[in-house]
Amino acid sequence: MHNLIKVVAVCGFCLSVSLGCKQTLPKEALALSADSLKLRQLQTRRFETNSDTRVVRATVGVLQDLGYNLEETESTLGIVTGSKDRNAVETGQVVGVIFFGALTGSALPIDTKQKIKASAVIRKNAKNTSYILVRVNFHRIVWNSRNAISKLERLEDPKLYQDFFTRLSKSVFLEANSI
Amino acid sequence: MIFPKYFLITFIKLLLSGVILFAINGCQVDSREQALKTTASQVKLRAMQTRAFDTKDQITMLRTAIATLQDLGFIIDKADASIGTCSATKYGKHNFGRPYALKMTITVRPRGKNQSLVRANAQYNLQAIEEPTPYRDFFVAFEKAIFLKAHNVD
Repeated sequence: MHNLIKVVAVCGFCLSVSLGCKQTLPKEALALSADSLKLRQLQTRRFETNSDTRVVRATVGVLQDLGYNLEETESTLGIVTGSKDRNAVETGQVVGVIFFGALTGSALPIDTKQKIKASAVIRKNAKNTSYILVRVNFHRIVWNSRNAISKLERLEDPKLYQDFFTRLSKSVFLEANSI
Repeated sequence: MIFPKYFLITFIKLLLSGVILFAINGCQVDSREQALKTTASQVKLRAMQTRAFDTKDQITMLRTAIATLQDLGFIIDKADASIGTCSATKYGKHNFGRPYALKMTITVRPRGKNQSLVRANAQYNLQAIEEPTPYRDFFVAFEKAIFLKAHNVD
């Protein structure tokens, strides 16, 4: 009798997990949020030039500087995307996993590799052609030591974008002066 | 008792895990059928995924769609100006931190002399999005972006 209760409890738990995990799209996924404008400002810069081709080339140059391989370019719409595969091992996580393993005797997976993807859209303003707008964004996929995806996330650290645009400004300058 | 208690319990366990598997996967017999499978009808799908706009400037429509996708947190994977298509991916998080992947394709094509049709279709993790609300949300954001452009605010 005691066992039967256990079985029922385990099955009930499994059933609730399987039903509870029936994933649905979060309501806010395709709606503009309060953060949208902030994010747009973070990810966009203006360049005072009338040549979008020059800015596209400069963007390609920066991505190459940063070790990205180009995946797609579209000149009419001004789209450049690139990706890079890199190591994703973090010391903090490794120490945590070793500590946990020592306590419980079970090994947790650690993050091992990641693919970072960058995508930039370069466009002229339809009314005012004296400047070009560049919007860039990054995201990454992280795999763990069991080769399963452990993270899918957008990279939204302001510093990342500041750094990128600092490099892009330099690159636009270098392009303008044919260096 | 004919069977020992142990076998009975194992049998119940197996039966219940079968029921659970069935509950998770539905009654799929051949997973290759997914290639042409949808749940909503073709007409319904087109209706919820498509909007018409009073402009024939397809490049601007496509640029606006791209800007809207970026505003919604997507990153642009591919685009083609001459055919009028664009695909993008968004990685997001559920409330409890579980990640999800959302993939969306937008197409823009002419309709009559003065109109354009914009169609969006999307998949969420391993499912097609076949309910109207997410598409309605997208087009609400898209309309706002057109408004921004018309008034040259950005």
